Amino acid sequence: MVTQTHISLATVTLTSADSEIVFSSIPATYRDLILVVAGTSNSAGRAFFVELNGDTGNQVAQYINQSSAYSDTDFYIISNTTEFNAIVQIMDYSATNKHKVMLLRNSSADTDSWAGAGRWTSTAAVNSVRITRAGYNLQTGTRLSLYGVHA
Amino acid sequence: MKHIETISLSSGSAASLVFSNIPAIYTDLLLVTSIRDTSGGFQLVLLDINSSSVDRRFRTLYGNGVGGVSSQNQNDGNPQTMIGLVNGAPGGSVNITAYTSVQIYFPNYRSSASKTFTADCVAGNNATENYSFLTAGLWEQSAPITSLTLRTTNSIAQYSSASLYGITAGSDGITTVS
Repeated sequence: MVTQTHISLATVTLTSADSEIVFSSIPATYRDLILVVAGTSNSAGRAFFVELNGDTGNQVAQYINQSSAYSDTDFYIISNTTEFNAIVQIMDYSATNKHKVMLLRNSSADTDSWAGAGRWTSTAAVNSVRITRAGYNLQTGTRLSLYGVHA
Repeated sequence: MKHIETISLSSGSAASLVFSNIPAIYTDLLLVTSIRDTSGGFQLVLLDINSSSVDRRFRTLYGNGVGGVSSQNQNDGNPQTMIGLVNGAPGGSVNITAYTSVQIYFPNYRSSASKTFTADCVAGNNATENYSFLTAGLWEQSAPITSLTLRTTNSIAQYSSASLYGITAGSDGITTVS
């Protein structure tokens, strides 16, 4: 059976703590992208920004968790010092006629369950995804994997 | 993504749906189920990892379309991990043909660290009362996941089914990561 989803593009398991991980040269072959992050950080409840094509702005987002619902001008995943995971779906990433929608599910069983929706207000095709937070780290052993999904 | 196994209840009910001897060749697992309980009313959908009854915790965010969003937390010591609600069979006050849909993602299921999972559940019901759940789960053991068990409060009804998929992380030779 031909695999149409979760086609592996790149993966890294951190061998040392890192504040920035960048997936680059993403081919425009697929319909959607899925980013899976699983591991720990050195700070609980810390936002690690998900930036597309090196753009540090031009995002809007809505989040909901167990205690609140709010909007923000950044799209991010929420880390934890105990094991957490985040799944980000970037829809229609290679399209050049629309803004890019991102969906988030973020799970930290000892702190919170999150859902989020974001939009990068650019029509450029996504060719890089950066996960970053200055001054904080994703810890050794954290795995980040990027997958493509065919239409 | 590769299909590992599908379990379907084509005749009769069952106490559980069990995926055992999960191959240790993938990076992540995805479990998808359409499930229903044999008793009336809303019943629990439960998940067991490696048949373990300890070292489990979860946090769930849920809503029923009537009131505001609610939440529930369970820490170590709770006897079961709830990932959602399912409608029961005829006899209750809920629609008799509605099954609950659940998707559970297990990243790094072979890791020697604690295992997390993300579960999304929507209970089917042809009425204004219904439920959706967003659950964060954690199994705090170092062993790899080798079995997954789905249960409901009573018994799992006929025509329920579940499928397990394996996802392998790697490289396409084009995309780089730094």
